Order: sequence, then C-alpha cells, then structure tokens
Amino acid sequence: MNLKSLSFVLPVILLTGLGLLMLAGKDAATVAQNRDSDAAASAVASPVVPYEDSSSVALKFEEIFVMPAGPKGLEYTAKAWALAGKRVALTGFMLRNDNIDPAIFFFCETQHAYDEREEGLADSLPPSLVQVILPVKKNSAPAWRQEKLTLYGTLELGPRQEQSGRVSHIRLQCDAVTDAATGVPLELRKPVALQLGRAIPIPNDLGALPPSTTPPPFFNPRRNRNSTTHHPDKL
Amino acid sequence: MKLQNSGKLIAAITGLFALGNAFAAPTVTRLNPPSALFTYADATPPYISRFLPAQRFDLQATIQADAGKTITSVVFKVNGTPVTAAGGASAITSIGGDKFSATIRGYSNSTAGVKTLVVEATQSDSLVATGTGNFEIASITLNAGRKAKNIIWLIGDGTGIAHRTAARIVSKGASLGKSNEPLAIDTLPVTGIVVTHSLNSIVTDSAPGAHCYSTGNKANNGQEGVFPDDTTDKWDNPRIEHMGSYLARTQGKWLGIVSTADVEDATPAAFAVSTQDRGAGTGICDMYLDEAVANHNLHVLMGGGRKWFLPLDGSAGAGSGRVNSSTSSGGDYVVPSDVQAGWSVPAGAVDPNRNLIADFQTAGFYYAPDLAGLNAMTGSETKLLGLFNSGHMDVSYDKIAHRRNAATIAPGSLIATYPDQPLLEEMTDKALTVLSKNANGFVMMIEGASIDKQAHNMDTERWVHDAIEFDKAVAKCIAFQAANPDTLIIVTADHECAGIAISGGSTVTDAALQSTAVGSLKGIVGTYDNAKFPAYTIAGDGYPTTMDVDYRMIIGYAGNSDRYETWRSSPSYNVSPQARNTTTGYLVTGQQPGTGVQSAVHTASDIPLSAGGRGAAAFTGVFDNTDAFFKAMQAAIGGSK
Ligand SMILES: [Zn+2]
Repeated sequence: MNLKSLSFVLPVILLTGLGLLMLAGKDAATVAQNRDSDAAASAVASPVVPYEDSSSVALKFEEIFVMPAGPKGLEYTAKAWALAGKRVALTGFMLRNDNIDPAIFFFCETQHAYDEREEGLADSLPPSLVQVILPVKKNSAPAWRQEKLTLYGTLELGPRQEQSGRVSHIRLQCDAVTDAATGVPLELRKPVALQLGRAIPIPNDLGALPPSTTPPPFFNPRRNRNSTTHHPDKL
Repeated sequence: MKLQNSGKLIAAITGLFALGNAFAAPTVTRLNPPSALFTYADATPPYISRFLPAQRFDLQATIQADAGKTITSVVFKVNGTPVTAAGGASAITSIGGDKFSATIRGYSNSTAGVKTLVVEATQSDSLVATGTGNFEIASITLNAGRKAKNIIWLIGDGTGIAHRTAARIVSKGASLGKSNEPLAIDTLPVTGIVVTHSLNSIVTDSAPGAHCYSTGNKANNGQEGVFPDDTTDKWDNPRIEHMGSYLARTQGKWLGIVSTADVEDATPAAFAVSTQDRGAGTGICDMYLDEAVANHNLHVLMGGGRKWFLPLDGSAGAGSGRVNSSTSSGGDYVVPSDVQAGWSVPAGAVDPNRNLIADFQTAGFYYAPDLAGLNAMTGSETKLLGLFNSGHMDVSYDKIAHRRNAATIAPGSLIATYPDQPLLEEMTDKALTVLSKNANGFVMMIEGASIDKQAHNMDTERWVHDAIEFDKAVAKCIAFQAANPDTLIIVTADHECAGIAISGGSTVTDAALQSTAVGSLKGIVGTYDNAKFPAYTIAGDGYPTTMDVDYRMIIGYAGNSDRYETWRSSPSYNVSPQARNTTTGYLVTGQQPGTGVQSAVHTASDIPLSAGGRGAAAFTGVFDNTDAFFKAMQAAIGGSK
C-alpha cells in the first residue's frame, strides 16, 4: 500500500475534525525558524529549568567501540560494557530519515541523513549508531530536529534483530531529551499525521524498492514507433 | 495486453457463459523473459531480452486463475517446441489471490535468432490461458582475431561526462585552452556513449545499472541477476546467468569483484548474486561463497561490508554481527527447490551465527582486513577476500588526508576505527596479481563506488577526489594490459549521478572565499572568461595537496536536493546536505520532487564508455548498456576482428 496517499489524506481528516491538533501543527514543522520562535516563546512564558540527572554517566560515541577495530568484528570498550544496563547521557544528533516509527529514532555523532530508497542496508551510517527507544505517545512519533541533543536513559548493548532488517548493537531506553546547549527538556514526539513527507515503514519483503509492474496496456511507451505490426491502440 | 491473446480464445471455447462474464477465464499476467511482444503486442525490435548462445535463464509465467480454481499444468513452447525441464527444475506455485507462478529453471538455447515464447496454462476446469512473448539469442561471430583472455570492467558509479572532466581539471590541469595532460581513462583509444534505462524506468539505480553488464539484460530498479516476478520472496525470481558463471563454465575463467563500497551493495552484488532486493544483506554475502565461489570461480572479493560476514553472537562484548531474519529486509537467503535443481546451487539457510570469513578461509581464501594484510601477501595466493570496513569504505579524500597526517580524521568518517584502508589502486594491484595466475584468464569488475555516493551527498571535493582515485585504478589496468595484450579494458559507469556540470571557476582566493559573507557567496562564481583555468597542485602521493585552492573549480548540480553551498570542502564526512554548512553557506534549493528527497539523485543522461585492448574497437557509437555485455562476450568467445 502506498503510504504517501495515507499521509496526505490523514491530515486533511484530522485538521478538519480535531481542533486540538491544529495547535500541535504550529510546531510540527521541522523548520529551524519555527523551532527557534517556539523555544523563544516558551522561554518568555516560563523560566527554563534545565534537566538534571546526576545519576547518568556521560558516554561519547567514540567511547563505544575499541578503536581501531581488529581484523574481525567491532568490540565494545570496557567503559561502554561497564555501562550496559546503567543510566547514561549521550550527546549527538538525530538521524534524518523518511520513515516514521512511533517509538524509535536513530542518534549519531554527526548530522547524517539516511535515504532508505537509495541506500537500503548498504548505508553510510556509522557503526556507533544508537537506536533510541522512546515511550510511545499515542498517534505520535519522534520528529527530526536539527540541533544537538543530549539524551538520558538506560544503555543496552549486544546484537538484536530489528523488524527493519537492521541489527542494532547499541540501544538507549530514553526517558529524557534535552537541548544539548541549554539543557532544556524537549518533546520530540509530534502527531504522525502532521509529519508530512514522511512514511510509515511497512514490512519490506519486497525489497528496498517495491517491484514495479508492467505499465497497463493503455499506457504504451512504444506507441509512437513507426510500426506496421501489431498496435495496441487498434486492438 | 494478454487479453487479446487469450480472452477471445477462451470466450469462444466457453460459449455463452464466458460471454456473460468475460473475466471468468484464466489469464497470463506476466511472461518472463520480458518482451514488448507480450506487454505491448509489438513484435518489432528492439527485442527486450537477449542472451548468449547457451547462456542460461529461467522461463516464468504468472497466471491469474479464476476464483477457487488452480492451475494444473503449464507448458512453455519455444518456436512451437515444448521445453522440457531438467529433473526438479520446474514448479507451479500458488502465490495467493488465485495467482500461480510457473517456472522452468536454467533454460538455454544455442541457436541464434529471435524466438517466440508461448506459455499455455491449463486450469483445473480445463480452461487454457496463453501468453506470447519473444527473446533473442545473439549471434557470436568467429573472427580471425585473438580472443580477449582477460576482461576488466571498471565502473565509476554515477560517473557521467562531467565527473571525468572535473577529475581531469583537478588532477591534470588545463591552460591556454588545452588540458595539460590526459587522464588515464582518456588514453583508452575507443569511446562510446551508453544509454542506461532500466526495465521499469528511464532513470536506473545501480542494481540494473550493473546487472546489464553482467547478464546482457534489463532488470527492474532494485533488482540484480533476476527478472521481476509477482511473489514477495526475494530469492525465487527468474534468474539470468551471470557473465562470471558463463565464462567459468565455458572457458574456465576466474571472477574478481573489487569495490570501495560495502560488497553487499548493488554494483558488486549485481556481478554474482540473484535477488529482487538489492538490500538483502546477509543472504547476498552468503551467495558470494555458496554460489559465486562454487559456480562462477569467484577468486577475488574486496571492499567494505565486514558486518555481513561475522557471526551474530560473536564473542563476549562483540559489537557486530549478521542479520538473523529470513523475512525482513536484510535477511538471509533460502532458495526454492526448482532453483536449486536448475542452477546447481545449495538451498541456503537462515544462519545468523555463520562465520562467513572463516568459511571463506576454509574455501582457500586469504583474508586481508586492511592494507597491511594486503601487503603481507606472499604472492602465491590464488583466492583473496578483503573486507576493509564494516560498511562502505571511507573515501580517498579522507584516506589520503589521514595518510599525510594521522591526526586528520573528519567527523563522520570511520578512519579512526579503520585507519589502514587501502586505496582502490592498491586493491586493483593485488586483484590483478591473484587473478592473472589463471592460465584461462579472468573477468573482473572494479568499482569506484563513492563517486556516486558523494555526488548524491553533493560533497564536491570528495567525489572529485574519488574520481581521481578511480582513474589511478584505470592506470593500473592499462599497465597490466600493456604487459598482457589479450586483455580488454572497459571503463564506464552505471548511470549519471546528480546532474553534475562544471559551471565555472571562483573569482576569488580561498582566503577571500572564507571571509566572504554568506549573502555574497553567490557572487564569487565566475562564468565564461571569468572561470579562467583553476589550478590544483598534485602531491607526491598523486593526489591534490588541497582541494581548496584559490580560484577553484565550481560545480553545479541539476539533480539536486536543497543544500547550503560554501564552495569549500566540508570538514565533516557524510553529513546531510540539509544539515551541512547551514550557517556558513547559502541555500540552493533543490528541484527534486517527492517526499523525503534529501540528496541529489541519479539522472537518465547517457554515460561515456572508454575501451582499450583486445576487442575494444567494437565499443564505439551510441548503444544500450546491455550491448556492452555482448560486445565484451564477442571479444571473449568469438575473438576480435
Ligand atoms: Zn547512486
């Protein structure tokens, strides 16, 4: 099923039916200016209270795997391994991608974009990619933000097969998202219906690209040929 | 389409009932190999599917049965003669929705000419559906000239005309109206222009864009080694025999695959693997060993992608491992029994704990994890596996910067994790050493993968640098050809990427560029006379001392997404064009339609091809990408003129 049509239809229904979502629509856009004005507005409205979590240990991306890698696979550092199951703070950037997942987004050291259609699993993403799991908020999903973030939560290490086909090696059960510069808590989850231009991932048995069927007979790219043989228009 | 073939006939047979309900009749909805005769009732050339004499391919038809009915027998006829399948190499499979897929695996035909293919499918109530298509068996001319013993395909992924020009301007320079020196590619004597459309679009991706050179046929985007079918199984599609298998079987040649990409990526995989999903991960890498080593004489496999070769559980603390699912994208492979019987391949298995590196070593491969590993080879090795990164290899811009100064590690690169990655020319050197040991010759594909990847990323300095790296690999092959004249070299691409054009030169020094206000960056582009001749300096290692020269070359992108342009190199690697330089560059808005387009895209522009050596003379003119396969095979089988 084509989800582009879904993401087109849903907002129309919701915007006309539910006035509440109109409010959310104001900050659903991922344009920097909107965010800045929102942040400024909230800063004026109430004093900003930076998030505090003294129990978390700061973990850097370059501290996750032993560098350089040996001739076989990557190995976790002693520091990372010791932090497995414990609270950590990670600072980096959200991966920008098309697919919406209600709970999951990816987090990396630099500002990557991931084009699933072009790359599939032969991607250019770093091995230290962290799969961040947020508590699900109904009808919402994490929406991409450009700024540097600090995330707090519980670190999980070890390979796990994900539904997307990816094997995750580093996961964060995340309970707090903050702006890395100010420490101000942020809400990443926005209504799915308002995240225009993104698609809900579907079980991808058909591959990175859906199989294309032959065009139907009324669309014939060969019809302008100077052919004296069979011509579909005459059939 | 097929209704004119079967609908009228069925209507006549079944009388009034059928007239009252014209759709109550089984119909053939797909016939493989693809043909314009089946799809558009057009029997005229160009014929869509074409094969070498004795090259194997699968016959496949999808039949829509009436509700609740089954298809009980299917006969394929070539020029009126029923095709008999080898034992176990045929199947009629229910694929849901009253649809059935019928196959005969591993068919071949040794007589040149256009053949009519008819499928007759009988339903459980004796109604018959038919479909008619065609295919061509190419003729190979036995020439008096010598045969190409070795064939080297060099594929600059995404490399159009402008990518070459840019590499020439930067690495060789131009002055007073002439290039100071040619690229290695430019010294190849024969030039052609290649049309790159895929089976389902004017704009191809890298899977059909390489599949065409390995099989001589068209594929759908995203698919390699196969024709499209109607099942969700990514491993059961109708297959076409790869060049490596054909030449191993008929001439005892060896196969080599060398890429700067993850070896699971489309271009390398399209030279050995058969799947409808170019992203099928673990299964693709397993097929390299299970099928290509066994049946294609694969002796060299080098690139990135080590993550697919490692057991999922690993040792304690291991942070990499294979995908362990057979159903989701990235899964392992299992092929149906008719494929096993028709192609002499194993069933495959969902084996996440397979240690594929160890299995390659057991099969006699020398394993090199880095350049030091390559350099430690004794020279007696006859099989070589090189896996230099967990995913795609880092680009030459960053590899060279790190070699010059170990402290130089761009954010986003994996140089710190994999500090000793070889350059493509070093990989090429070792591959030639190994493959040239075969007295029967070899066929090799060498890919400069990140010319495409960094063009997508609109990271000008990095793709230009990789185009230069690619040219140095070409130079290695030209030197090999000089010493081994029965070698054919074909340098081309799979498609153009990003709509690149060299639109001019900067009118300011690099220092001035750095201090130019964002709002004035647009004004530094010199066009026509003001472009002058940008001059780069080449260091002792053969690469530019810097890409950020005064009065630099300016690149435009026609297949672009939004980007922020600074006209300078990016200190970080693989950062999204929408996230890169947002405060230091000015916004150039993209023209790509559609959702989620975050990078530049492939275009349908024709691509250049350069050829040299035995049989190269045929590669002239404007021709289809599949024609390149037949020209190369003519040189290998029938000899040059
Ligand atoms: Zn590409």
